[in-house]
Amino acid sequence: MSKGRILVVDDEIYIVHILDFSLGMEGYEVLTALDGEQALERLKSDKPDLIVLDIMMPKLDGYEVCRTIKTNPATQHIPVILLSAKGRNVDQKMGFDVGADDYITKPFSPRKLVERINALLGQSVSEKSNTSSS
Amino acid sequence: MSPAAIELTWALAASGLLLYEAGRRRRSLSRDLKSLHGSLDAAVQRNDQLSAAAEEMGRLYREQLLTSRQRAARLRKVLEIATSINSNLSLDKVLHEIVHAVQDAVGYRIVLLRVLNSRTGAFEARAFAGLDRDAITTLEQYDVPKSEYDTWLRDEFKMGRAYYVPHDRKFWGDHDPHSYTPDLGERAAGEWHHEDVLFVPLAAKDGVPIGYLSVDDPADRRRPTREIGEMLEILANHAVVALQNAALVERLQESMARLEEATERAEELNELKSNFVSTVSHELRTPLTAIQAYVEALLQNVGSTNVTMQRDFLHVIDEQGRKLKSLIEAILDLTQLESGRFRMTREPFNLVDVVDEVVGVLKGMAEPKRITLTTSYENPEVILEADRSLVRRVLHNLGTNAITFTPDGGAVAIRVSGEGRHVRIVVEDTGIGIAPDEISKVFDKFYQSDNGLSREYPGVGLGLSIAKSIVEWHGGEIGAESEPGHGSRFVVSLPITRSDASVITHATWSPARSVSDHLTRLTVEMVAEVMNARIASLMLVDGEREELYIKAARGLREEVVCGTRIKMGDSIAGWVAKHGQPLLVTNIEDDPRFGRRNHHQYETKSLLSVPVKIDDRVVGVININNKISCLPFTEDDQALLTSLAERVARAWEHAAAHEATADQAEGATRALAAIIDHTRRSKLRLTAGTMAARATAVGRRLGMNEEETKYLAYAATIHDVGMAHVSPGILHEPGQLDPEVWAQVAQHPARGVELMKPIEFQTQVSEIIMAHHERMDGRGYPRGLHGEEIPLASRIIAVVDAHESMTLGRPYRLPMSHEEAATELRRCSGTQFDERVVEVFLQVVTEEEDTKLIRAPEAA
Repeated sequence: MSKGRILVVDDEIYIVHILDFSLGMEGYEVLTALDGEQALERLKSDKPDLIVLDIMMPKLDGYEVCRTIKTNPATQHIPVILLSAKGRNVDQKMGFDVGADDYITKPFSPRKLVERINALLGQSVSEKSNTSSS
Repeated sequence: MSPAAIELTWALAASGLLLYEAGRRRRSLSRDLKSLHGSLDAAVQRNDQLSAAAEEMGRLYREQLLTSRQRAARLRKVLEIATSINSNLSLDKVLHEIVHAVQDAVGYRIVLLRVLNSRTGAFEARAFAGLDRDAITTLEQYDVPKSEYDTWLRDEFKMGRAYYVPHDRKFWGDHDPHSYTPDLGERAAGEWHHEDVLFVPLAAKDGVPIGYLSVDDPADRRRPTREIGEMLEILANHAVVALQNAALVERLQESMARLEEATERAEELNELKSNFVSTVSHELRTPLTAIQAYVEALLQNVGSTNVTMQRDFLHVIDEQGRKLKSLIEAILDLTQLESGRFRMTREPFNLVDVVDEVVGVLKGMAEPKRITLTTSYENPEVILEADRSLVRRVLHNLGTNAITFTPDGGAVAIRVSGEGRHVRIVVEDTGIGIAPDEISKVFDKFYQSDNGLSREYPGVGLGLSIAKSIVEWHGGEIGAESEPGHGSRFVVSLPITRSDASVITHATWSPARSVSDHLTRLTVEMVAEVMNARIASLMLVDGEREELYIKAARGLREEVVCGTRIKMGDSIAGWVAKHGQPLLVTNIEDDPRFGRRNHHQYETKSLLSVPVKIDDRVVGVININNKISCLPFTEDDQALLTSLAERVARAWEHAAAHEATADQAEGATRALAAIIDHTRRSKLRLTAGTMAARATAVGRRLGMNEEETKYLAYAATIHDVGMAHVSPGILHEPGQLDPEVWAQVAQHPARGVELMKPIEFQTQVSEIIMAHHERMDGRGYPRGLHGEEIPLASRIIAVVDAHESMTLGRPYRLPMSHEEAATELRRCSGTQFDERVVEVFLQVVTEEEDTKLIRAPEAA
């Protein structure tokens, strides 16, 4: 059984492929989108457990997508990891400002990403159980 | 071995090599990134130091408080006082609290706390209890040297961590001029004696001394016990914490200030470089990300038998590695080209050979896409004196670009033809083309990738930028035309030799991003034309390095353009930039300010340098040397160039303000181009400079002030720019003008004003231009003003202009002598011209001829 469904959004097809591979090896089911608009489109029908989102993309950038996800009651609970080549502190700050749960700078180690995903999913599961018990 | 095993071994070997290569690239890349982010790193580092300091402060305080609390359990009173000392108080207040706590809790009437000043190496009296003003003054006047203090620390005096020196040990001798000894009255043996000393060192955790606490006059008159020593220690610990806190706070504040400064600086730099740095780092990180991710995946699956997966992964790594390599090469190329360290070697060669060579290489790219590659030459031999390898680079980049953006089965053509003293190279394709609003951006660095085209059309987006840098450095021009959907055409024009080059531009990554290359070229060209100077250069301020560098120049060698950097304040341009004042040097060798030998490239010893200021800040410097007339520059030239520099600043501001809009600052560009054009058209006439000089001479004699003569000089130079709209042929024919042509002529003052509007900020100047064809009797144009209604400057220009046009003649009319022209001016005096102006003007011309300053008009 899959450990969870992850939506990977990046305009670099190589990155999407390798994340599909690495996350697949970890037992996750991977959904993909190649730009921001596609990602939001996908979210209308699919509800992933976590989203890995690139920032610099044509059409709609990652910040905008993240803001949209985090302001929509239907999707705001989904953890978002921003994945970006923008390494400055201000970029990261902006990422958290739009509601991202984590920020990983490219180039990144897929193994580290998997660790962060595991951590975030573990965390959000325990949060859910907390709220249900209270 | 089985074929599969061989395959696997190969794959692994290749992956090893690639890993090694990737590592190497990553290292060199990280060096680049490191330097790019240098200032940010520094800021981050300071931030780290700062948080480390803050953490250390908290830790120390907690630790100290903890130990003292444990030990103070027995000493409730001390503890109460000690813990009531608020760490938020200022240091002096805290120390004051501590010495009074010692007084109250330990029972000594006199308490003194000294703090080691690490700079002077002596202990300064810092806090007191139980002492009167005089005693305090005495103590404050003498600092105890650390060397002296060290001699007190004898084991024989030790009592716990405190030291007790009984008077009967005779340690300090009989008279210590600096010591303070209170009068305690008579004491019995075994009681505290006024010469007894009890102190406890204040030391940091690592034992480094920071002060000491000494007490005198115990309330119970008894000699100290061990318990007294311990109580002193506890309070001493508090003093240490307070002192360390204070030192940390001070350091914290210092770091804060530094951090703030660094942040500000980083932000400033960032603003300048943000585009470049973030784009470059993004561009570099993208292939690196793929490489790292795929390498890691391969490593995790080393034992896997899935050879297809491994081959695919290696393929991606290989491709991305190549992309990274060409990206780094392109960045290095550009950086090197723009660093000024690169030397251009001009040598004559046959351009046709170079085109053929490049086409040979391009075929390899064109064939897989079935693109037809054709060449055509006007001549089998087109000799060009330029840097062969750089020109080759231009052709290669343009060709690669054309092939990249042309779909399969298309065509790319390269044509070479002569065009006067220039060679024209056209590279045309049948590709996707460029949208009109994008066309001006194609030469921007990384333009392509921002457009999201890079997915479909691999490339690094630097090729055209490099081509442009090379072409402009050669003094040539490059442009693009396109019809979207049908293809693009890139046109390069290169001067055949260096002396055919007009303005040479030094391309740079920023800093004055808002000044477009085109505008800087126009600026230099305009200044050189109007001022009649063989050498003109525009320097921009590099605020980051506090230096000036040459952005564009006419008449200077390429190496000089790229290699010159002047510190603000140094040399002539540096002086001008620093002080924001123009500088006129009539003879560089005699000038006491710059007593130095003349530079070989300057034919004359006179030069003129003026600042370009935007919002009162110097953003650049315009320099001119070598007047074509070989005469020294004058005050009039300075006034004129200053006026020009003010318009240049205006044009740049205008351009910067309109950069965002599609209009592309065309108004400012057109205005500068019109001035150039007007000056060139007037070349058969007197030089503009002389025209301005005569006008200002008349103006001064008629009582104009400096400011007014400045307007006048400038207006006299450009007053006819509006004539550009009148077809030149018409004016060269005799007889009456037909009404249509007349209408055109009558409009030229208004057109001139309109044309100059984007760079004109003084209504006086517009007024002067508008009225230079008005007549005293009101029969002039365009508004029919009378007498004094016409600005004086316009009346002056009308006379100078008329005289000039009469003495130089027209194609249909022989030139008059000065005497004939003078008679004509006098005849029209009062009706067409201002009588006073005519008289003063004739005086000026007569004096000019007397001093032989006027040059005979060149035989045309």
